[in-house]
Amino acid sequence: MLKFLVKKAGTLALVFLGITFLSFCLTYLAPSDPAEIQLNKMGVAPTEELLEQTREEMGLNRPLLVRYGDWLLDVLRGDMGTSLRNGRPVSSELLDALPYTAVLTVLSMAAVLLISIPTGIFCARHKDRAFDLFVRLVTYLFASLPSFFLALAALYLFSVRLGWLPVIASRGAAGVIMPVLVLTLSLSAWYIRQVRGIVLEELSKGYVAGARARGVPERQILFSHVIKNSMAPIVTLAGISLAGLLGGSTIVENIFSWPGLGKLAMDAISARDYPVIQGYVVWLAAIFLAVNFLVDLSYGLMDPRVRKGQEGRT
Amino acid sequence: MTKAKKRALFMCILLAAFLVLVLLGKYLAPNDPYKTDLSHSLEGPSAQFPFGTDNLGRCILSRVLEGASASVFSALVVTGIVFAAGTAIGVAAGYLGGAADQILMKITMIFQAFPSFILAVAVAGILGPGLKNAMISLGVMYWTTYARLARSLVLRLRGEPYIQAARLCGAKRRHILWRHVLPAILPSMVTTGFLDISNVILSMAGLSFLGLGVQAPAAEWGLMISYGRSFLQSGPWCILFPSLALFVTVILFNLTGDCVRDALDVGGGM
Amino acid sequence: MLEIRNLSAAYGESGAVKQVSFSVEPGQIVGIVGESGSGKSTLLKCIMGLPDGRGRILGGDILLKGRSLLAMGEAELQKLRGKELAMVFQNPELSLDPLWTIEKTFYESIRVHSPVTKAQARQQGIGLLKALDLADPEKVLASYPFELSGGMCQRAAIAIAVANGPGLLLADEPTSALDVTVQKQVIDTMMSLRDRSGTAILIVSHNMGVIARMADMVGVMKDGELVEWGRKEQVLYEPSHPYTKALIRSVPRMDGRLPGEASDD
Repeated sequence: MLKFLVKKAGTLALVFLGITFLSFCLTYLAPSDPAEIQLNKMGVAPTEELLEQTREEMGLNRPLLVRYGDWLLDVLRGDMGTSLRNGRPVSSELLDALPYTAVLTVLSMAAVLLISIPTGIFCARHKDRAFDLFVRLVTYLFASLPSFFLALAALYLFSVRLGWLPVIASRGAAGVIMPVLVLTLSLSAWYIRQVRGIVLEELSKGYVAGARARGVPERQILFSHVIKNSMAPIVTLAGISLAGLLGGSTIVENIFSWPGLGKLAMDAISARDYPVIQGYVVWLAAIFLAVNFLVDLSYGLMDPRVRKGQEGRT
Repeated sequence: MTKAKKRALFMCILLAAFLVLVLLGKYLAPNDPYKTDLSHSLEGPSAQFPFGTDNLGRCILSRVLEGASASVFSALVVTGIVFAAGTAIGVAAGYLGGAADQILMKITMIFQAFPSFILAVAVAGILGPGLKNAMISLGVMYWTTYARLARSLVLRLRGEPYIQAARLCGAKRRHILWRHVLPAILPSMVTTGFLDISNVILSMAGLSFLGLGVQAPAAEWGLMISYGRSFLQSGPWCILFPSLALFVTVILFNLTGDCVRDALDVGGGM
Repeated sequence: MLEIRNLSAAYGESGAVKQVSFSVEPGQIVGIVGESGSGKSTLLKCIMGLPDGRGRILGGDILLKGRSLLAMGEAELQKLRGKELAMVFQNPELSLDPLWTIEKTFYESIRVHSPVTKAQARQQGIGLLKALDLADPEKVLASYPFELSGGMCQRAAIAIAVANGPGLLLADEPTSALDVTVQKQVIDTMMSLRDRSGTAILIVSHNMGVIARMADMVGVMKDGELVEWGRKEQVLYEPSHPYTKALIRSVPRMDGRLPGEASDD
């Protein structure tokens, strides 16, 4: 288990360095010169000399790796620079928005898991029956619908037609219903199919035939063997699907004016507020990475083969 | 020809016909997609405007047809490029092995550590809005799938007896690569690519919806849907029809992808 | 014990069973030999009545202690499986739940048929493993399938299968996935099981050597038909069907003795 942990932690550190480096390099893609933006902000007309001087002051002339190192140290200390829009620290901007996205993501993920896992298992258990066929059709259709269409359809139905919920979302409980509903629907469509596939695969394995031959009732095979064995891939996919939720939240937050990270990012993009965009990428990548690291660790708890260092042998 | 192959052929023909329709869309438009006419603002579907009009009186049907190529072909081009580039990288990594493989795989791992759409949004956001930049950002988001898949397929093949035999017989590397490796990995790769197109189309529409893709007043489905948000109450058709076009396109690509997978018999793809 | 009457079954596209009849007496070891696709594994699946979408019984009957298995409902069959009728598979590691220790699986096997406590099951397990000559039974019980060697795992799987003292054990290629050196141990385990508890064994294998070593009665299957049936000595020394003769000829011999005895001593 210790060896497994050390190996995983090493990979984690490497990938973290990688994502910070890529995020750092992102600003190089920007068509405009940070020094020029700085001067513009101070209301100074940029001349070639002034620009050069500002670049020097801002440390833009140092080698890339040195600048990256400094930036990374700052990031690790929690300092991600200041927003070009309002001069506030980027980390405060992100921290203000984070709880909103967290609420949205956690609620949606909980709903997705609660809906998808039982449905997927049930469909696999009763493969090709009416319910399974129905679920397969519905999920197929929903997986082909963009989340923004679902969001607008929900708005149209619940706000315009039925008048149950306000068109402009409040920041309270009523405001979170529709974003969560939309994210849950669009992710569940994908996830149910995955769970169904995983459970079907497990059901075809030798230990299921083995348990049947020992006279274990079907229900018991499903609950004490199949579901337990399906958990590792199901949890892995839940970790991966977090990416879909975070991506979807970018769109959904903007539609419902929900003041989370996705809304912040789009506001930053339209204002060319590069430090905030950069902070947004680093944070979300770090969250995604951390969650998937925890998922990896949970393998050790779930699977004795991993715990006892026999990874990959089946 | 097996049943699965027949069905795949049928779907491919259907899809090809659809793509021709997409290509010729702008010539089939009943009205000028850019002509504004405030006297016909936000009219519901009628004989003159089968899909209704937007707030500027532009014909939605004409705009859906006009926007088809931006929405569909941009995604096809992106998929084609990442398919070729990712496959090349993956095959190289799998075939060269050693340090090159390690480095390439670490790089794909880092790219995959980003929630993919977030990375695309950030890249497009920093590059600035526009079709070209949106395509670049989607490329950045999607290439890793192909690189990893191609690598794992090549690694699996390398151990196959017939490849080993070809090696022992003294076949040149390039010969083995072109004659044995590429043909063997192609079915899986093509299937994955096919099933991925709809994802790329949806992501492209998502970027446009966020205002990071094609810019107004150009017609593009994601953009039209985004624009239609303001008229959700007074003209829901502004959203409905571009969404429907998107939906039909995605379903068509998905169904064809599924049929191709069954016909090529490559299991789950990705 | 077991009587197969004119059994016909279809299984997928190949591996059908055509009009097969034979019987297994109590305490007898019956070996069915045949190449893959000859229908011998399908035969075992039919006897177990394992729900398998692709298999279909077309005719005939299977009687266990005089009762027709085909006439039974799924609930009744399930009570029988593991209790009166047990099975071991080709790959022991795949046929056991990878996340469960041998002890837990052993406990489950007994628990589904009769109320026992974990401690009782454990005692029974240790006793059974000892009786089957497995070294260090406590350690085996505490192990996960992947921690045991193939031979050890198969012997543990046999112990689990016979935990409830079934009258008949079906063995589907029980030694084929194992190294030659450990095949003998598994064969010995099954033989001692028969000698000790009088368990009848129906073993199918493509390995003539294994069948020759274990079986009292031998059947030869080809293309779903039972082409040869008789006492071992009779089948091995005076085969009537040309296919049996070819099968026997194809077994590599060490010193002119029966193939099963070649690896002895």
